[in-house]
Amino acid sequence: MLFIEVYSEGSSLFDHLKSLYKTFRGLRNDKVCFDLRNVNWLSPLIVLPLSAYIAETDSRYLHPISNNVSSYLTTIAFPNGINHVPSRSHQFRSYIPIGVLERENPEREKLESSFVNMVYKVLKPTVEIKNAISYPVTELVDNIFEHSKANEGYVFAQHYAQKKFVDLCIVDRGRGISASYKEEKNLEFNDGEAIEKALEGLSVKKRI
Amino acid sequence: MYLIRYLRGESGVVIRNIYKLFYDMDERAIKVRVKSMLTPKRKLKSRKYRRMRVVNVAKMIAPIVGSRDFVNSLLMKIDKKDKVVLDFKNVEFLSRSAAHELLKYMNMNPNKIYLRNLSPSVRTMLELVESQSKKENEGQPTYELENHKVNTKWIDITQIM
Repeated sequence: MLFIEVYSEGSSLFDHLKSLYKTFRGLRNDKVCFDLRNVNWLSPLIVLPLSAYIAETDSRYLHPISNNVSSYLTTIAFPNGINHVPSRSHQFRSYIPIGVLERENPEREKLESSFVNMVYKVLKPTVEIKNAISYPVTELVDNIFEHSKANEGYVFAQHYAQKKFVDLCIVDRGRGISASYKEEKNLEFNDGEAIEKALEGLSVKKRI
Repeated sequence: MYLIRYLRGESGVVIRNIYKLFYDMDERAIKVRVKSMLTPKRKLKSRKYRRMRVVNVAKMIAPIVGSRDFVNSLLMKIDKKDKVVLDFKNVEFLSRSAAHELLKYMNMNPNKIYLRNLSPSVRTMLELVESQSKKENEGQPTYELENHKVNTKWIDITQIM
């Protein structure tokens, strides 16, 4: 079993991406023990990929020493997440616990709705803006099951009231965009190129 | 109330006279009842829909319907032989994939599913997807936002029910 120390330094998006890169660099499906003992804070950008990885590779983790971080992780249902709608009281808190969206689970839609409602709650949007929020989120979640071929997707939302923003994280451990192009259209791209092509609108979808 | 019920089927003139007799009562309530009695065709249509099972989509699925699989989830909960009215009350958003799947099912199973209480955004999404499907099938460029009048195959029965 590999042993990887998780770092969480700084609070900018760049810092979070750096932590993510350092943690998962070179990993495929190895069984890992993630060392969280020294982390003082964890962003959704690192929490959710960790959760997905641990769940799907049967990996482990060492609990943080900090009581605050430890109780936060318990609160958000790390690492196993929930696959049903939180009770009514949960719906009004500042987070949506880690949600496991399962392909065959009829509760999936309700969990996804709670996720989008978290954003509504913060932004108090008009109908038009609600649509602008719902559209990309539902598309991203739907793409997990339609394109990545994964049977499970993971979602997590955290509202930072003082900083006035919501962190939304959607993760899957499916085949990836590059493999999707290869398998569906026999196109060879590396990961970077594949992302660029996807952003340009190159779709593998059959015409509707 | 009993008097008006008793007079159901009488000519509009008689009903209007009765209405005059009750002018000091709740005029609005009587007007509505009289109006509904004067439109027998609509009433019959309404009865046809009332025999169908009504499925509240927001309750059974979710207020935000995002997934293509929602049609399968619905079908698991209803008898496939039944004619069903999908009530979209409180559904705030229907994704493109979900709309596509629903229209596909409705095209393959005509007169099985009826829609009601469509919010403007749900209605627009259905119209957009239907329009896009038609254009792609005909080899035309896909949908243009400014010009999206579509002769939809489905109907919103909110007004009829």
